[in-house]
Amino acid sequence: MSNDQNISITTRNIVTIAILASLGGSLSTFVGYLGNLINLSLGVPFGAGQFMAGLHVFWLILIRVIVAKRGTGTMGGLLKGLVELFTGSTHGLVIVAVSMVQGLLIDLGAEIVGTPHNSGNTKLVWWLSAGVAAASNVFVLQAFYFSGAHWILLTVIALLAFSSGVIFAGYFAWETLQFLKDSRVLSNSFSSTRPPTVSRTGVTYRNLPAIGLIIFITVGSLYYTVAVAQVFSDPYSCKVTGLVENPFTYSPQAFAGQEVTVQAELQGVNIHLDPANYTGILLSTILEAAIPMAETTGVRIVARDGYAILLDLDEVMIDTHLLLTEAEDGLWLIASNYDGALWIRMVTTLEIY
Amino acid sequence: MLHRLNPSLKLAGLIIITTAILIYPSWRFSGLLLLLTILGYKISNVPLDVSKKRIRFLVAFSALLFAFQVLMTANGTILFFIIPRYDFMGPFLPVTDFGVEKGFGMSLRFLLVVFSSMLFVSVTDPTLLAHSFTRLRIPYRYSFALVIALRFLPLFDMENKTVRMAQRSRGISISVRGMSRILRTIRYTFFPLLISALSRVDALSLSMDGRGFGHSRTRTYLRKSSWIALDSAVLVLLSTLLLTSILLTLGFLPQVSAII
Amino acid sequence: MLEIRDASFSYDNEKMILDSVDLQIRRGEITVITGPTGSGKSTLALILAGFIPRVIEGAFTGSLLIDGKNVEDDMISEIARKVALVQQDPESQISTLLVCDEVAFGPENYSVTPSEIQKRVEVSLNAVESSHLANRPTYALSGGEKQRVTIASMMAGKPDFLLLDEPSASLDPKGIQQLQKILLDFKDSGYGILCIEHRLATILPIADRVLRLSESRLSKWNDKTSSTRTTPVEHFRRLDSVDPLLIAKGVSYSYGTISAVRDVSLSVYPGEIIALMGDNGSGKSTLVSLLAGLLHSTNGATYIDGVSSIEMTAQDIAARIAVVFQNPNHQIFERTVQREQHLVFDVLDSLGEIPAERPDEVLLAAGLAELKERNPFSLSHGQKRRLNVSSVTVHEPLVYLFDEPFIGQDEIGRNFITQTIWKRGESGGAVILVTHDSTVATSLCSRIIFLERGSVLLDGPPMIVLNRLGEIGYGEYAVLGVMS
Repeated sequence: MSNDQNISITTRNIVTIAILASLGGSLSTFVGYLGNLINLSLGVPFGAGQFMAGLHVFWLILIRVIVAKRGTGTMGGLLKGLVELFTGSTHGLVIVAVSMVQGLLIDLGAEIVGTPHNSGNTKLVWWLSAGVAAASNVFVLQAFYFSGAHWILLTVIALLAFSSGVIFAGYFAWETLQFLKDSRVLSNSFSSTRPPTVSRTGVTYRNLPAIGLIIFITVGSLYYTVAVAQVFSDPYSCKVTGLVENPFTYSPQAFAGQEVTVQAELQGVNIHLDPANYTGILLSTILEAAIPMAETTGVRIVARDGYAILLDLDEVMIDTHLLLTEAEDGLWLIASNYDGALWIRMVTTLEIY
Repeated sequence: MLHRLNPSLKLAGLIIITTAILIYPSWRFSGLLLLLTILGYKISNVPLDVSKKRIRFLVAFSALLFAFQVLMTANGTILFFIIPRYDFMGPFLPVTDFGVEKGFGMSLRFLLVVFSSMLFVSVTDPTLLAHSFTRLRIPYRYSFALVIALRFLPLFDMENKTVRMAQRSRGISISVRGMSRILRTIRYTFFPLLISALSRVDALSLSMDGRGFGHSRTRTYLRKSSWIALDSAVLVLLSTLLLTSILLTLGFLPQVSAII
Repeated sequence: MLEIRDASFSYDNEKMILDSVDLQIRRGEITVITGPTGSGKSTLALILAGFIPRVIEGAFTGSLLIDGKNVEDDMISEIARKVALVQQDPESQISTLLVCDEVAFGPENYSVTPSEIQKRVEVSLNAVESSHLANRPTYALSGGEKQRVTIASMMAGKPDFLLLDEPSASLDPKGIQQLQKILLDFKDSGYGILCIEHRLATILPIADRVLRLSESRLSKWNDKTSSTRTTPVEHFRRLDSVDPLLIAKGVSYSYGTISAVRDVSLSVYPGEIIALMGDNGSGKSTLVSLLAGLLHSTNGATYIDGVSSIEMTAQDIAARIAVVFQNPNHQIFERTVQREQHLVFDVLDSLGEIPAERPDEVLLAAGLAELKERNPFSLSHGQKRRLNVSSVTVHEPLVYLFDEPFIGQDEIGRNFITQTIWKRGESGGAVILVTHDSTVATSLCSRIIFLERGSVLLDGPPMIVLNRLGEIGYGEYAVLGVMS
């Protein structure tokens, strides 16, 4: 197809996108209902419903394949999300973000293969991107509501959603497309009535605010998605950053031979750990290696769950009982001289300020 | 009062509130914004009536979010253990003050998203919203898709009911036992509705073309929202909110972040 | 004058739809074109409105002239300023959420000033007697109201010519009378009007000239009323001594706050064929769903063959009842005609003895035997409707409930459906038929139930009910009874 097909979009295209997005939005209650039935039949409160996630992406795939023009996936996603927002979806604006990210991913997939959707290899890419789009909802929702979720849990649910995407927005969508072709409802008797032609740069320029808005929303919703990546990083490593000459990522192996062992006893309000021996690297040793700049006064210690404490840098540098040890779920800060609340599990960042 | 604001601005407001709470996840901040949202209902005279079923879902999901955060957070001052020490076993699953705080934060964030979205929907005329997008230089042919989609929504909801009724009249019932049953259930519902919906495409696009849709690059409007002084004031307020949340996250406002 | 000269058209370059057709539409005149289903009447309208060849592909030759000027090079939006086309299904032509927005849609696209648009909205709605609808949401309109709004939205563009495709299809007799009056007003104001009508009787009284399209050609229509009417046959007497097949006891139903059916009680006996009549929105379709046990009454109860419908499963209902809904697309589920016809056997386990060849026999009678392997959705409207009837009656359940089954049917279809209805009545079942057509009611049915705002207004033998209707202000049912 010629290139300018991508710029001009016919009334028929717009109507098709709107109608499919509307039907998809209307049926999302039905899809949710099916998800609940599956939850019920498996006896779990939630999660298995993700097995229906592909049925949301299904509509965006139909839109992108039937209209076959650049960006229609995103447009369809945005529309379907807005329709659900206006029907009073329980997730409000979040559903718009979820749906639009899905459309964007479908568009990306379509961009990789170009328009054809029916030959062996291209079909594979389409189906995979359908799977990825379906899985993306797990991460967007995670970003909004489930930050700190364990990566194993996330992976399992995302894989479930991914398979759902491949099955329903891939296999089933292609069956549907064939069915629609056989039913002759997609008549090809329409040529494209073009709107008044405008040059491509003109279009890009005039759309800048729209593009800006779209990028803003996308980047915003992707921000936390990407932030999840750190969960997948080595749990036994920790960033040393801030006002230092030599920022680095700490790992115990790099400091082999410098371990110390201390005996400490955790005295919390409601918890008491009997005195035990802890072996690890002193915090002062680690910070020393980063070379704190002059005039720095404190260190912020951040855990994976977002918990953070501030300690006085001078005190830290002379503390011979303050160390990072390796525990079953990551690096622990053993603060024998401090209150129980300052013992930290799963330390991920040391920031000097 | 919110009815009179520019629809695009209202959408921007919704996006900004959601973004702000996403980048600065403090339960006090969420709570404050939630209070402001409730105030929004009051000043625009929108009744805050939520169906029973809806309330049940809101409570259940908030509780789920709360429990999830509490269980996932190990740090902070431990308040108690869900499974106390028994003999040499345990204790397991500590509940910490930080976890409880995070749990509150998430639940409040969820409620904020739900209630601010509901408020937005009830004070926004979707047609005016679509038209106001042209102010953002989105061509009207594109933004009009929103009008079409919402116009057909009640029809599709009705057709959905009819199809389900037709299924019952043929003895077909919904079943999710096994993959083939699931696929059959979906086929029997999606296919009739898809055909019915797509068979309207030709008539609608002819009808629109036949009334000059896309005749020129711009068009006029019988009903269009304007930009009033109040809009500018609200825009300044929203920008401040966004900026504050960014500054708070970056730690530039230690005095303020100590409070919220 | 709107004119086409020597127009020929084919969608696929093989089958000629139109073959060198000439047609002139004059201002201040109502032209009517009739002809059998599928004869290309709608295609002709698409050519007159300029959509062929601009938007719709196909092999077109010939020319379109407006007031003597060839408009070959004009864009569709230019032609649309002069010629407006109201297509068949009003529902599909409404693009906005509010009636006033819908009427304003055209002028807005042509950048008319807001104050002028406001004026046009008022004038156009007034012209179709619908000023009161201006601020209503479009989805909440009745079929007749939707059509009037669609016409108003076309008139707001101030065209010179108005083309209407099957305008009476979804109207009740009252709506048809209103439409006739509106079209006459337009004619008097100098518009050129073309009506395409399958049911000629509905528009004949106001026509200035009538043409017939058949075999790709236009010719003058001559009034040799080809009577396809089924001759009334002796009706089965209902046997009051036997138990009724369907019973409704004080049933009511409402959608939200709108009440659709109010406190209806009735019994249907073996052998009865009943016409369920009433204006659009009087609750006919809802009552059918209630009787079929598909909706459950807010109070009262329905019984099917003696069993309360609330206690029946979907399978129980399907074994006893056959329902045909209005839109054929909503009740086709399978991927081939054959599988659709056999669907009921897959779903229902115990159907008793049904001869193996029965499904095919029914398909043959429906004129669908050769289409067995086709995707059912690719059939024509009339064929789909026949498939609906044949697939729900293949196991011969006790009661048939058909909602407007004759719309869009040609003679084969009418005969098949009539036969199906007759046979069921003859063999001790019962049929309820929703219809606006008093001819059908008198020739086929033994009883008319007439609904008014959700309640039974009249219930009795056809002639008595129709006469009574004439006396109490529903005369149009008697007058317009002679149709197709």
